[in-house]
Parts: sequence; structure tokens; C-alpha cells
Amino acid sequence: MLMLQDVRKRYGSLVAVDGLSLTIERGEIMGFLGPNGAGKSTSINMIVGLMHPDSGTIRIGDQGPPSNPAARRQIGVAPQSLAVYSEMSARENLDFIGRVYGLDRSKRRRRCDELLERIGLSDRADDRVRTFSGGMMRRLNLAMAIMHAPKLVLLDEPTAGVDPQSRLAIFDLVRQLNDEGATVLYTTHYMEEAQRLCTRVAIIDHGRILDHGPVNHLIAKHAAGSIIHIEHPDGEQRIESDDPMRDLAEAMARPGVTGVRIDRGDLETVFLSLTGRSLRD
Amino acid sequence: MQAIFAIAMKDIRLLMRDRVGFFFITIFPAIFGIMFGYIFQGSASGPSEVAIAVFDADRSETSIRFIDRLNALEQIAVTAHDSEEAALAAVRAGNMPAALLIEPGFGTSMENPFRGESAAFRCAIDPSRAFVRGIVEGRVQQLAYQSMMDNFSDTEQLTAMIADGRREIRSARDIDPARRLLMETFLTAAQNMVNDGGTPFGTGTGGGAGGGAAFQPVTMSFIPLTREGPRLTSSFQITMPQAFIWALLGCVAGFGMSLVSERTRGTLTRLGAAPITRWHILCAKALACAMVALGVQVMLLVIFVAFFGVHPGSWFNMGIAIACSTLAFVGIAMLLAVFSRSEAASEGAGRAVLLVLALLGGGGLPLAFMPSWMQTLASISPFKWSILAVEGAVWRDYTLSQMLLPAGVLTLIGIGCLTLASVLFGRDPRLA
Ligand SMILES: Nc1ncnc2c1ncn2[C@@H]1O[C@H](COP(=O)(O)OP(=O)(O)OP(=O)(O)O)[C@@H](O)[C@H]1O
Ligand SMILES: [Mg+2]
Repeated sequence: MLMLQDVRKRYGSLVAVDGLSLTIERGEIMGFLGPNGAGKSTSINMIVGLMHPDSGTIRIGDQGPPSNPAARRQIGVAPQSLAVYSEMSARENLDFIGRVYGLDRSKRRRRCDELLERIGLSDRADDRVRTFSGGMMRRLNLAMAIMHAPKLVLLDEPTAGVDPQSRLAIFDLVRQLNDEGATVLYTTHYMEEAQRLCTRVAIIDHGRILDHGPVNHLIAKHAAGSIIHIEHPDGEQRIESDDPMRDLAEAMARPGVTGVRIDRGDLETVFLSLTGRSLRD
Repeated sequence: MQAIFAIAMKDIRLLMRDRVGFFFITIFPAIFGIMFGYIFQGSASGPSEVAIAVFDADRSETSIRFIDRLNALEQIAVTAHDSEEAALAAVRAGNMPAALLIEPGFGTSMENPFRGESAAFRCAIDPSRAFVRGIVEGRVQQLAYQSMMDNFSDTEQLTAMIADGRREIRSARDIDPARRLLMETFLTAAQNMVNDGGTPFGTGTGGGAGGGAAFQPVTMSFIPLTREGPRLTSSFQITMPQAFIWALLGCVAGFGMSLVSERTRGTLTRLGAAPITRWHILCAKALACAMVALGVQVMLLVIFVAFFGVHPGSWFNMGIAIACSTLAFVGIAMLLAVFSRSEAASEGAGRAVLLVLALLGGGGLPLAFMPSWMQTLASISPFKWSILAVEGAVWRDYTLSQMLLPAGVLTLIGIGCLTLASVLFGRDPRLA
């Protein structure tokens, strides 16, 4: 559905995307996981044709590069910044984007009602977006991305600034979209989200893909062992272990230990082992 | 196409909901034009002083004195002209509202009112300023009457005049007997009254109107005249074009920001990601700007025509003026929109430059009141050409070929700016 090959982009001397290659198959939910400034949004902007890569190629389905409007028609994007018109109502925003994509009136009306229902904004449909909370705008931002029922949905941090309840609603929506056949590229720096939602994850840092694959493969590959947290009065020590029972016994034998905790490996661990840094730094 | 229209309608809707922007595009220009119309009306026009072009064909002592006295009147300012044609041309060209031609023999008639020939004037009035006719007629009659009264109030001179009149009547052969008798009786009665120490006509100015009805000391005939020059008759003819450019300025300021605000909002990302080209986006913005600019100009025109007595000399030229102004300022707005990268920066710089150009172009001090060097300097402002085009249609009575200059300049500005804007926007490395 989407193919990026050796894509590079620099802003002046700063290399934002550095030889990124990635293929997303039809029907996947691909996680795009990386810390701030990793180059996720830049990649998305290139995929939707808002800027051209300095080098490399991008193909969307069988429609070629994003410079082709027919290729862009297949994509729906929910930008990281809330791209909504705050002086228009939720319904007007959706209707407008529907017109831009050339949907006819009855189709727009049907789709508006349906989406407003799905994002839980039916009762606020005719209020100015200016009066919405951040979470409500975030949901509308997503709904506008899928108004024209795109085959490929690009979500740039769709849960930023959203409360746990809205977050669950967004997860549901993404899953529904996927069930209906849409391919999703889900950008986030919350590893739990990627872990819960995505069939595959690509880990990106400094504009490169460090590794990608199904979540459990990545964990097995990079974080096979368990993690033992040893608490003592000066703080906490973190040990990666292939034989947790032995290391645990050893740790407990140390003097001054106040507690121990064992975690299974997760994407955080994968990231840590790939970069030597924590994702949230 | 549907997308272009959708974006344009969305922009207009957003504009209507932006109270400040909407105010500066619609209400402010209207208020400006109306308010300054009234202000200029009080100071510059109105019948406070009527300029009269005078040609004196008599050149007698009496006529020269008469002109001096006319000039000394508060409501009248006299300018002497060398020929009848020059005086009439001044009115025809719109430089003077009235011309007064003093006929040969005026002095003699004034000095000898009883000879039966009254002193004669011919007069021409600018048809578009017909209201001055009453003033000119009234003042001239009154003054002529007064001049005669001054002669009458002097008994010695009056006695001489009566004797002179008697002699004239007696020596005239072809006068009909009844009239001769009447005149003799009148002159005898007058002489008796003078001898009794009174005057037959009194000397007060109050006698002017009544005396004029019974006895016309002077006759005035009016020369019909058609105006050839500009017909600047009301201050609203000046302030309506100004209102237009303030509205256009509002459009440029508003739509010049439209790309920047979409950029900062992030909505440009959506438009850029949609299956439309950049050209569509720019077209939509230009369309919205054009619709608003046209709409507001037409609205202002309707207001000024309906309520403030502005009547374009040529509706066809008016159409050209509005269309070309719209084209030019849509172009400028789009160029500004493409140039602007950040909301604050472009707002500040763009508005400052535009404001200066608008003022220079005649948005503040009207173009017609500027010294000529300033009018020349104003040519660098597109606003000047817009004002000139509208004035050309309203009161300057431009012919189609005279319209060609302002309309052509505006069209060139419009096409040039739009071309440049679309090239620059097409080359813009990123929309996000
Ligand atoms: N318009 C720009 N001009 C210059 N540099 C930019 C621009 N946009 C992004 N960058 C730089 O490019 C790099 C990648 O930015 P990008 O926005 O793609 O990161 P991201 O992965 O989306 O980060 P985040 O999680 O914070 O959204 C960053 O170092 C950023 O500073
Ligand atoms: Mg980002």
C-alpha cells in the first residue's frame, strides 16, 4: 500500500530523514514509533506530497508518487497540529473537507452524521470548534482525515493531549477503520499504544528506521530477557537478565535492598537496546 | 472545480465570522466615505461663495465699478476673462459655476434708465450646479438696482436725469402718443416728488425684489450650456472612490493573510494533501477575494447612488473600473499571501506598506486636492489608478480611451501579481 525507499530530507544542515525505507502492506496497522524530532512528521509530510524528498522514492499503492493527485486521493491524513477551522462547526468542517474531495451532497450528509456519531460529537455537531476541548478537536481532526473513506490513513500522534477515555475511543475508531479495510500508519511516541494497536512497528530515530516487525518479534529479538528493577535507598537499579530466577536470588542477597520487581521486555526495552536511550528522554 | 468553489466559499464564510476583518472590508469603508463626504461638503462645496467668470464688453466706468461692487459682495467671487468665449469655456470645463457677460451699452443704460432701454446681461450657468443660478441672478439684479438707486438719491443728478429723459421723449419721433403721455406724466410726478424733498423709489435694499417685479432695472438672459469637463458636484463623488479603496485595502489585508493563517493553523496540510493542485488552492483564494471585493464595491456603489446622490456618468466605465480594480487588488492580495511566511511578520509589514500606498494613492487627502507633484508621485500607488478609474466613471467623464490608462495599469498590476504569485507558490518547497 505504501512504499518508501531510501528517502532523505534535510532542512538546511539538519538531516531530518536519513535514508528511510519502509513498506506497509494492505490491511496493516503499522506503528511509527520514535522520540521527538525523530523525523516522523517530516516523513508523513513527504508521503502526502506536502514536500518533496531530497532523494529516494515514495509510492502509494499502484498510483505512483504522491505528486499524482489520484495517489493522494487514496490517503487521509490527520496532522499532528490540529488542522481544523475553529470558527466553523464540526459539521461544517467535515462537510467542507468532503466537498474538497468531491463527495456529493447526500454522501457528505450521510458520512458527516456517521462520523460525528463515531467520534461522539453528535450533540456538539453544530457548535463552533473554538468551543471544543483539545480532545474533542483531536477526534474531529481524525474524522476529517477519513471523511472520504481513504484506503491509507496516516495518523500523526492522534492521541496527543487526549484523556484516557477519548484515547480508548480513538483506539476503537482506528481498529474499526482497519476492520473496514483501511491501512493505517500510526505515529506515536507512546510505546503502549503501539504495542496494543499495531500489527507491526517501525522504530525510528534520527531519521532512520532502526528495526521493524511485529511487536513480539521485536521484543523477542531485542528484549528477550526480563528486566529486574532493584530498589535500594539511593534509587533503583535496572538489570537485563536472560535468567531472571538466578539474577533475582543474587540481587536479593545484596545488602540494603528494599524491594525488587520483574518486568517482561517491552518496546521501551527494545528502543533502549537499539539506541541506548530511553524513548521519553 | 468543486474544490475551488468549496475553498472559496469556506474562506468567505470564515471572513464573515471574523468580525474585525468583516468590519474593515464593509462597514469601515462605508462609514469613511459617508463621514468624509459630509465633512468635505461643509468646507469645500455648498453655495457659500459662488465664483463667476465675468467678461465686460462695455468697459465703461459704470461697468467697471459694477464689477468691483459685485466682487465685494460676500457670496460672490469674480474672475475677469478676456473674451466671451473664455468666460463661457470656463463654465463649460467645470472650472466656474457661472459666467456673466456684460453687454456693450451697459454703462449708458445704467446712467439713463428712463430712456426705455434697460441694461442687459447675459449669463451662463453650469447645468450641474443649477443651484447657483438663484444666487447669481438675485445678487446681480439687486446690485444693479442699488447702483441706480444711488443715482436717484442724489437730487441734482436725478433732476438732470429727468430733464434728460424729457428731452429724449420729446425729440423722439417714432414713439407712440399714449406712451409719450405716460412717460411725461411719470417724469413730472417724479420731478415734483424730488422738489418736495423725497425720492420716487426710496433707497433701501428692501425695494430690490418689489422694484424688480414692477420695473426691471436690468434684463438677464440665460445662455444654455452643456458641460464638457468633469462634473464634480458633490463631495460624495470624491469620497465614494475613497471608500472603494479602503474596502479593497481590507480585502488585501484579509486575503493576504489567508494562506498564512491556513499554514499556522495546519489546515494547509489538509488542502495540500487533498487531490487538488496548488494552483487550485491559489485559484480558490483568488476567487474568494474577488467575490468579496466585487460584492463590497457594488454594495458601496448602491449605497452612494441610492442615498448620497452619486450618479456615475458612465455605468459602462463604472463596470470597467470595478472589474479592473478587483483584478489588480486580488493580484496584490495573492502575491502578499504567497510572500507571507509568518502571520505576525506579514501582517505588520504588508499592512504598513499598503496603508502608505493607500494614503499616497488618494485614500486620505483626495487625489483631486493634491498638488500636482504629489499626484505624480501617487502614480506608484495602485490605489491611485483605482481611484482614477472610478472617478473617471463617476465625474471625470472619461472617454473609453481615457479609461484605458487607469484600467490598463490596473489590469497589468493584476495579471503581473497573479502570475508572480502562482509561480512563487508553485515553487514553494513545502506547504506544511
Ligand atoms: N520546518 C522545519 N524547518 C526546520 N527544521 C525542521 C522543520 N520541521 C522539522 N524540523 C526538524 O526536523 C527534525 C524532524 O522533525 P519532525 O517534526 O519530523 O519530528 P517528529 O518525529 O515528528 O517529532 P515529534 O514527535 O516531536 O512530532 C527535527 O529535528 C526538527 O527540528
Ligand atoms: Mg511529529
